[in-house]
Amino acid sequence: MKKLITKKQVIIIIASVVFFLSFVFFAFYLLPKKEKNNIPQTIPETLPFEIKDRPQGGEIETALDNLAFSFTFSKEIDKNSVFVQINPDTEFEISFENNNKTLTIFPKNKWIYGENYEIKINLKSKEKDEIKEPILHKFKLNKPKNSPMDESQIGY
Amino acid sequence: MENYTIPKEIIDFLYNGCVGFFPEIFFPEEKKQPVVFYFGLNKEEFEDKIQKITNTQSVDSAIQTIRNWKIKSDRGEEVLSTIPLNIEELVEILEKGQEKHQKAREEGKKKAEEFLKAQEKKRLDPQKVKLTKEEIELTSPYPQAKVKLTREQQEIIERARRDPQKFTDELTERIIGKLGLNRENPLEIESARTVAQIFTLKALEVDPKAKEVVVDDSPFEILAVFANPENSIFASTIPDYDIRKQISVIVQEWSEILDRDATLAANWVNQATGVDWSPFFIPPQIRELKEVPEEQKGQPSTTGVSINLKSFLEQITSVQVLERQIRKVVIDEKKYNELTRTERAKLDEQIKKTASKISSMSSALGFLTRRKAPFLENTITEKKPGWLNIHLSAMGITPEPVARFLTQSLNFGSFSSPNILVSPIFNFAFDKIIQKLATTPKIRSVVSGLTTKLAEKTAAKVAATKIGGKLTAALAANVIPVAGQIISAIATALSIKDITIGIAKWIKENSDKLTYILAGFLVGGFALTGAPIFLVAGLGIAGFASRASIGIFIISTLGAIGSAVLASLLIPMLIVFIGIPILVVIILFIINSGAYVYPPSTTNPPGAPSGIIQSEYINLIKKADVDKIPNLTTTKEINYTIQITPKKGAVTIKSIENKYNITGGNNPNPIQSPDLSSYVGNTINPSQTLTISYKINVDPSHNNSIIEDIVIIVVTTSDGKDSTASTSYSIMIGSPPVDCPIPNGKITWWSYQPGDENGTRHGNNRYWGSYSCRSWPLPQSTGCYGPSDPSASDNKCFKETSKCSYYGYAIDVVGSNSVYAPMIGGKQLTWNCSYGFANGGGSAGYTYICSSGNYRLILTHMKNNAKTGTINSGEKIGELYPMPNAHLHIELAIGGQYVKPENYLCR
Repeated sequence: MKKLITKKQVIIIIASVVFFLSFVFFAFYLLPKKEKNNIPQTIPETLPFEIKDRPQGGEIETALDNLAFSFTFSKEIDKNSVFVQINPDTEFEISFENNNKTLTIFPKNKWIYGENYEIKINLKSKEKDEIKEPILHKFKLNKPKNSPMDESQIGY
Repeated sequence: MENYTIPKEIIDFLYNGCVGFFPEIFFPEEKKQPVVFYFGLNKEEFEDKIQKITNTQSVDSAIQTIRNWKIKSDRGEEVLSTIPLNIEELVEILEKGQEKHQKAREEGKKKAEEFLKAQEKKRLDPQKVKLTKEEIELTSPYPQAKVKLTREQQEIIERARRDPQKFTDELTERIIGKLGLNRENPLEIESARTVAQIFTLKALEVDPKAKEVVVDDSPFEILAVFANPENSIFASTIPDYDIRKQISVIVQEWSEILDRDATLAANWVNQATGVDWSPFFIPPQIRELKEVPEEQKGQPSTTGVSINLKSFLEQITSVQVLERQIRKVVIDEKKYNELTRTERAKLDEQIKKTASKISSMSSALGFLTRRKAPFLENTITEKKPGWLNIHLSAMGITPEPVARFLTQSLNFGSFSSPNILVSPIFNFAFDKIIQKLATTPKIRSVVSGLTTKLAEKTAAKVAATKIGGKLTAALAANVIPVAGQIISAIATALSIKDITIGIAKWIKENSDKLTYILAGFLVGGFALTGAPIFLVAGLGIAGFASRASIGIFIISTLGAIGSAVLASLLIPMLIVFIGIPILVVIILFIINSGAYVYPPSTTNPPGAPSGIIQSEYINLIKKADVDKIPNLTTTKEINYTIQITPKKGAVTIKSIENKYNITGGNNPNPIQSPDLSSYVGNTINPSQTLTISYKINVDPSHNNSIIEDIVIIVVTTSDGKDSTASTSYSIMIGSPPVDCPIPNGKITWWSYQPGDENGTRHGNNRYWGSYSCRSWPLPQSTGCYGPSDPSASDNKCFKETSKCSYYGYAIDVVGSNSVYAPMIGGKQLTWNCSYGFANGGGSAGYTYICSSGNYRLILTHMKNNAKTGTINSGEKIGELYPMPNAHLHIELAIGGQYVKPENYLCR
């Protein structure tokens, strides 16, 4: 009798632990993944010189159908080394600011709302540091439907 | 040759002076600003001294020698020199300076404490605050505003009168609680207390039994005259239109700021008591100052006083100009010519020295006005004339730039209090300050003592030149005219010659009342050595208890601040205060000049505001039979209708007025307003709508213009209250130039500027008020909830994780309710406009987005019936959404990047 109870207890304990672990796994691993955008964020590592600031990726709600994207690096960019590709194929222009540390990409035409885009960037620093892998920036623009801004209590 | 040991104190003194005057040598990386004075020596004098004591031929060599001395001295080695006389002289300077500072510290602290105590006592004593008109004649001839007291208001006033201190404490607590102020921030708590005290003081002036009370007779009311450069009396006194316009710009700016801050203060008390006290804080006269005459509309007014002030600054930094001015002040030409050659040379030398000092001081002022303050790398102001900002800031109106400068310089840390901290003090103080100061014996005695001291000092200096017999008596016995002449000289430099003559004359006539102002001027302008006592007295003259507190702070911490820093702090601060007396004198002159009486009108209230005023009692709709017509070759008739519908109960029309703003056109003929007086007295019952129709004529002189037809109606409600409503309707003739989506619109909230947390800027602490940072992103739909700029660390949203550099880039514009497609940079554009999104689900209107090339214009708080598709600059897009604070929120992006709209529109 005692033995059976013990076995039962063991089974219950094991089941509880498995359940708990599953829950933890579900809660801490699966759930956040589900909450994230379907489109992966920009790949972060660009050693040996790194990105200090990059635009928001994923799904972006914006009123600007010609939204520009700026990438700021820790070192001065070698302008001649910059290679940018946008998929689907999109005409664009680039500019350099912030002592050539910031690269901005402007679409020549409007982005299409709801389209998945991927910007691929390859570049070197002025000191000829190379990035190990091209930067991938994926995004999709969504048209805003409502803005919470009311300003009705702002004094005039 | 005998060697003398140089004392360590002297080496330190010399070394610190070098560091102060030549920071670029000692701190090449840090870009520190040099000091202007050091122990009363200017740079030139200091250079002379170090070259002599080091026996070197160049300043560089002298500095190098002193550096070596310092190194030796710090090692404990003896430093020898062969120049004993200079050492003695320097010891004297050092000792005198230290003694002077010590004495001044003690005296200043004592006086500031006394001043504060006296202020505190008087604050809650109505008898001491209240002055009769006869005492100082500063009341306005403008009709006083009257407000009827409700029972609730009477009860609250009675409570305030019963125990003012207790009432103030309770009200402070309620404000803190209701507004959720941060108890750990002494500035916020002080702000609440200030507002509560202002309210209590106002309550003490009110007779609770009176059914109708006069709420305010602010001297500012009279400035309404000066909001209008077309005013005939104004014009007859100052013939130059440009000068009148400059004055009116200042007046309008002040009135706006006063109105804004008074509104804020009123809101605090309203929230704390649950009763509307707005009229007690916002005298309608101040509101009326807002009115810009029709003739002036459409003309750029942003240049303000910058041109003249720039020239003023240029002049006061010129030693030659200063010499001339000072000579005029101290001796007239005839007397000067009577002097012997030696006497003249000595006087000239004395004058040159003084001019040199003033010039150095003015150069420091130049730092400030050129947007850079000593020891502060941040920009003082953006695009606005620095000098004016300094005036206003010093006076507490524009707290941010100089307040930040002062607080940072004094290591107060960041200045993060609500705007209310300074402004209501000003708002209240300026209302009463002039009256108070003139009759406050303490201040009077301090000031007149100072005046005498200064006069004696000046006289003594002149006497020391051995020509005293001719000048001392005149100076000592007759301070006022001297000061008057100084003001006169400066006003001349300001090129406001007509005012100068008037001021000089008026000063003579009112000399006894002006003692304190003139002393203030002297203290601010000519107490060059920067002794703290002068500063505190200056602050006292300015009349701000809070600034006196700063004074105490300065005094109590002087010991901790190095001498070089001290000089650099005090001098710019003193310079800041120069502005106050000049402006005060000009204002007083204006106020007291009996000629400046705005003719009050019963049928045409001056300053009836343009644009939309929502009333909770009536709905007001205005339409025309056309929106847009081509250019005319003959006269054309336009038909308008006004619909008035009561919202709550029957209303009776008390007054109704129509007026016109014309933007553009070629010298357009004025439009005859229809006579609507026959509708006055009409009662409109609920569910009824009164429709008024009328016609106006337009002609070819109105080609290429926008005509805004404004109606302002005052109704009396069934419970006896008056309620005002206003709306407008614009028609366009031809292709007028439109550089703002609301033609002639006025920017009320600007784009965020890191560091300016109290101005009217989107996304700053003042903007958010009781809203949280995540209430909405700024600009909209960007996911940007805070500023990324490190200098925005005082912003309450700085800790947000989602931040951007373009945070808060947006403007709010008010004016008419018609929204037009604008030009940008003077260029006509073809826009493509489309519906964007709703705001607050439609409760705050709707957003339309217009594209043209790289431009994206986002227009928010519009009605959802705006025009879409192709729209050319100058064409009407739609109308504003009718909300209580109806305005157009504008965001602008160029090439997919948000920019500050005010840099392209509505300026």
